Amino acid sequence: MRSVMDQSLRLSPAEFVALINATLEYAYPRVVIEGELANFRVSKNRWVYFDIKDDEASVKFFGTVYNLPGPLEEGMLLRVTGTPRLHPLYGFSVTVQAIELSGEGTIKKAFALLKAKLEKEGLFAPERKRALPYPPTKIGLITSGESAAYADFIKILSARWGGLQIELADVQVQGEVAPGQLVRALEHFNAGGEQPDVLAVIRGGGSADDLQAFNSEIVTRAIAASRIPTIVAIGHEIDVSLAELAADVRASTPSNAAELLVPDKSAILQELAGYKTEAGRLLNQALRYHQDKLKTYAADLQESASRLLKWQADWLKQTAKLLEVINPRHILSRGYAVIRSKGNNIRSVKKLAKGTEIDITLADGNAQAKIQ
Amino acid sequence: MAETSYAELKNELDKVLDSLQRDDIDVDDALKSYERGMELVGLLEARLKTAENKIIKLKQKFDKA
Repeated sequence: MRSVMDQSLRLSPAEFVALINATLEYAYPRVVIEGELANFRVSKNRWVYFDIKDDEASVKFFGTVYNLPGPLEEGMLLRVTGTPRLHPLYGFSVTVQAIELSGEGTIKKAFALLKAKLEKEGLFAPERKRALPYPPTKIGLITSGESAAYADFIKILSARWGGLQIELADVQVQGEVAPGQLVRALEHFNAGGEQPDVLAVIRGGGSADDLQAFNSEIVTRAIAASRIPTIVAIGHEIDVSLAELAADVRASTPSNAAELLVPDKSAILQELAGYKTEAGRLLNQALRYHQDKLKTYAADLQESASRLLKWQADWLKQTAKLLEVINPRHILSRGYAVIRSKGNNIRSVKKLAKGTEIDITLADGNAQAKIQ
Repeated sequence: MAETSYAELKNELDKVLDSLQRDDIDVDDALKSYERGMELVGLLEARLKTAENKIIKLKQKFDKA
């Protein structure tokens, strides 16, 4: 008969560790443990060690700073997803895949801590905000394609504006995978060749727990780092997430984001009709300006012409007077006479021999005479 | 060649209206600007009335690579 001892496995420490890990991987590939944070420690700015405990037990966790939703404090209530593992040298721990905040108090506290940290870094500074292209041509939309927020956003966008190209990155907007997916979608658009003009990150209302992906450090930083301008609308109007604070433009709701992104075409059509009237008015104004100018030219011409005419008339009058003065008849009227003989003017008495017949012209007529 | 965008057409319309507002605009230029302005308004109106939005759902998943 074989002893109980004989049925037991005889293993080296390395074999035992490998066996336990294989068993754990098979039985519990993923666990979610919720409890209070204790013994939190960051090593070399990269590795994170902490315990999650309740009144009766404490479990060790190991992860990277990339897993952290933001700054944490001892006593915070966390929901940690991870893989249980036995380390060959350091013993048992759960390797972290995701950390979510749990409970209203913890969520509020974490929000305040992260907000203060990022504010200090200047991530929310007004001078970082860029204007969005208005209206854009291509929109990169990051949201859940199944959500009511998505449907509302598209409906309002289409009612207001046309000709847009909308690229949807369908991501989960809550739960432990949400932050990673949001970050990768933001990176995808920023790395692409034909980038959108604007990125819209939207999500409808939900509990503080539902919205926490948008208060995580990695998502807030990815929004702030986007080279493409961003508009972010998370939850209802009263919910202000850190992602919204880091965005270039914050919209109160997904519908409001659509309203802010594009003008209302009915208003624009009215405006365009106004442009027609305005263009007509401006044209008339320009034509009137030139007509007035022509009128002035015509008046100037008229004035110059009449000045010239008056000058000519004066000159003529003067000349007539002069002519009058030198008119021989005018001289004759003063008592002079012109004496001619056989058609020749007689200018000397020597030409007047006795018996010469002469014609005498006086102012009022002619007479003949004979020299005696 | 890509279709002229709405923003580009609107930009041109603004410039045309600006030029019409200049005091010293030539009569021929004013008439040309007016005609171009009307043409642009027509194009913009047509664009607004007929253009539809195109939605492309990206195929890739954004799960961890």
